[in-house]
Amino acid sequence: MRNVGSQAAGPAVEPHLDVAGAETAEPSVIRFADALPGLEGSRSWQLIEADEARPFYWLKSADDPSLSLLVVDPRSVVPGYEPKLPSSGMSRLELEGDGAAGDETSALVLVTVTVDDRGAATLNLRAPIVINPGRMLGAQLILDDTAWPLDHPLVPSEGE
Amino acid sequence: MLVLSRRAGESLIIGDDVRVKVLEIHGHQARLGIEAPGAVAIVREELHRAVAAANKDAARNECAVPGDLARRMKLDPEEEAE
Repeated sequence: MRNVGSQAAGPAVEPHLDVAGAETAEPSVIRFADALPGLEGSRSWQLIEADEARPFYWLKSADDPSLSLLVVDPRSVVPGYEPKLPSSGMSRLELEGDGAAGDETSALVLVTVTVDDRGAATLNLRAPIVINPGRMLGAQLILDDTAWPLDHPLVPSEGE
Repeated sequence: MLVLSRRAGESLIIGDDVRVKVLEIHGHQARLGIEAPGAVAIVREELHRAVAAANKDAARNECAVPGDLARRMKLDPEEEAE
């Protein structure tokens, strides 16, 4: 596990996410004023790059060291995923716009990855985790649109 | 839990700025209208529970090997040569 943009030995290691303070050794804490449903004990999280596995990242609880979620940038694995974000969430995250597709350009949108015993992975497209990197605010926004499932299978875009 | 009865057309106020109105009642179903500040999230409880269950599942990630997933997705075209 490696911190996002941590100072690795080599030169020219670019931070992969434009998150404030990402260059420091300890990744900045993202505040979730509303806890993630089911994980109410943690309101401070850190986004950490998963080893050599972009666009996957670990969202690690700063309140509970044993708690982490594997997350992925959905746009690189689910073409066409451009959900309308609820305006209440945009407002809580101090993001501009009303959440229409394309509005969330300043936001970092991630979705959780669930991996079962056999290694099959699903994505929760119904409740993306949205981060305002400028303010280091985060929230899991539950979409109104029933078209996005909570357990979208993660499959390669082309046959193996 | 506070329990109170409302007829169709009647409302109740929660705190300073949330109003819940019973619009109509049909058999076992009530239609509600909710007025709340823009930043207040309103979600059906069963969906909130489903997201909570999904989050708890996602937190049991001892089988998650991000490198394997990335390779399976063929998402590493820009492999860092090290």
